[in-house]
Amino acid sequence: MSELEQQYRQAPKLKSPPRIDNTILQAAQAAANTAAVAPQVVSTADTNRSGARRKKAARWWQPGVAFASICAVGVGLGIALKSGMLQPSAPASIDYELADNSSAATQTAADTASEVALVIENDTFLLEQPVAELFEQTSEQMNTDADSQADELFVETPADEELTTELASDSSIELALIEQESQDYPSVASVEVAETSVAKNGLPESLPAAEVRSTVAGISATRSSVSADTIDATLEDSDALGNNRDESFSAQQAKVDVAESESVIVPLDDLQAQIADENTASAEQGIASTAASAERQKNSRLAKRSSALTVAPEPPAEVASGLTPAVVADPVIDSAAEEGVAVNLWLLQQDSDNYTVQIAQSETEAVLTALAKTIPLPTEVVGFEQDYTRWLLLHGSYPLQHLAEDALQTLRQVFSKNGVSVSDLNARVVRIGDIQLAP
Amino acid sequence: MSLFSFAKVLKPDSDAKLLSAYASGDVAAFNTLYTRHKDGLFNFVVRSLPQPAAAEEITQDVWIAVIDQAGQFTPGTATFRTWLYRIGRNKVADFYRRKVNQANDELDTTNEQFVATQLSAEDQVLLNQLLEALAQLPEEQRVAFVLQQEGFSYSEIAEITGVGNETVKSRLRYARSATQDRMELNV
Repeated sequence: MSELEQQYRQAPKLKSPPRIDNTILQAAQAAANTAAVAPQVVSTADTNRSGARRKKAARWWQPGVAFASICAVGVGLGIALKSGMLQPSAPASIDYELADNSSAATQTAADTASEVALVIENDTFLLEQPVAELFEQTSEQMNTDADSQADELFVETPADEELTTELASDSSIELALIEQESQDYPSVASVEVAETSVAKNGLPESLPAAEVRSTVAGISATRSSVSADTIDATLEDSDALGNNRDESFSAQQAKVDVAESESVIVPLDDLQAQIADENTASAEQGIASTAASAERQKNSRLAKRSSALTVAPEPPAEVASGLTPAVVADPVIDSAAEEGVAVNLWLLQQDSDNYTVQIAQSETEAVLTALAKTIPLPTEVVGFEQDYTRWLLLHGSYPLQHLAEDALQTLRQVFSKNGVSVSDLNARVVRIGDIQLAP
Repeated sequence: MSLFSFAKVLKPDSDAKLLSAYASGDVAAFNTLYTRHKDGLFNFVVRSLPQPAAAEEITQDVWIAVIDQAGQFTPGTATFRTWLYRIGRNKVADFYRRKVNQANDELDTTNEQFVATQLSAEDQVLLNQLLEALAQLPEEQRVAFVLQQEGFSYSEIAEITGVGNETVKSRLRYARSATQDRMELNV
């Protein structure tokens, strides 16, 4: 268990206020007395449970009793009929009614019989005649339809007939195929190209494909032979040119070789004097180049320094985006601090709309010195600024105020963990543009 | 006293049984149930709220809901205690929702009216700091923390708050860390 939880559990258990107790208990009592909804639910459940038991019992004894009753009645009736105790007879009132209505009943029965006979005759007519005919007609129709559909499926189209005819002729197979393709696919490039070639060469347009192809092949062969001749001629020319160049090069080379063999003979005194002159000249040139190099380095340092003083580097991307309230330790500060302008320079490099954390110098000098050893802060700024302004710039540049406040909170926590009273930390979040620069 | 009655005295009736008895009309069963859980629930509600002044009203609402829904409680799905605190957590969540709508209301983080006076002055200060730190936690973290202090397991807290076990652990971890940091900050 953590210290926090122990501390929490040391807290006294809170007591529910008596006025709540009274209110709730009264409400419970009222609910139980008046509405009695809950007891009804339970009594309903009890009723359901007992009803279920009764239904469960009824499932087995009710059919049994009914069956036994029916059997008993049946057996009793059978015995009574067999023993002659019961004689089936119509009641007198029924006989009387039948006697009175006998004529009407007879007439009605005759009418009904004729109607029934008529209906039967009609039904017979409707049933016997049409069904047989309909069956035959339907079967015939179905066969006819099937045959016609099959004929339609397997009948040859005119195009197929043409194709078959063309296929039978061996001499014009390819032409027929090409024509068929051109009819089906008018944009086939091969056919158009073949016709165009034929027309341009002055040949009849109706030339068979075999001839067209042989003509094209001939043209290609002509082109290839011409190209080959041209190439051969060109090669011969190039060989001739190459031979000429080789000859001229050889002559020049021979002249150079003769000249070099002549220049080897030099007097020793002249050579020593020449070497001494060359050494002197190179020494002078070396001194001059060293001086120039030193001048270049000096200029480079000056340029670098001036750029460091004037050009403000962009803040890191994560700080600029405001996602990470990290401490901004700028490497420019190191070199600039030597020049004595660290804080002013750092401020100038920052966006004046950004925020930073400042800590008062006089109150926190010792604290800051200790703090700088424990956490990664831009200590150069801290150590330098205290000679110039009342406030020490301590903590980074943040594009949003709450990020700087978070940094300040972190700072307070670090102070607290390092045994520094928070009251010693006279810190604040300020807008960089509001900071007064050191003189 | 028979052996059965003696055993009954030793082993108190379960919460579910008491609630069932109350649903049958036994008001005494509800009194027993209420006495058993009233302080725990009140603690939970008070600690879960940034405004302890509203704790009485919310606690009362929770118990009224228990009275109304006593017949609907099914013992097989949850324990009565979990069910009770789940109602409480829902009422606290309702309070938070209302509070968002009442943006101008000032937070009353003083818990003095509920804190007993047995503590020393130093402990009282620490306790107040702890409660203030708790009051600044997000609702979910605070509820999870208080429920754990009330003795609920991770799975019970997950059931009450309607989230998974890992979420509960995460909330508790954040709650402890944030509370610790705030208290150190206030030292």
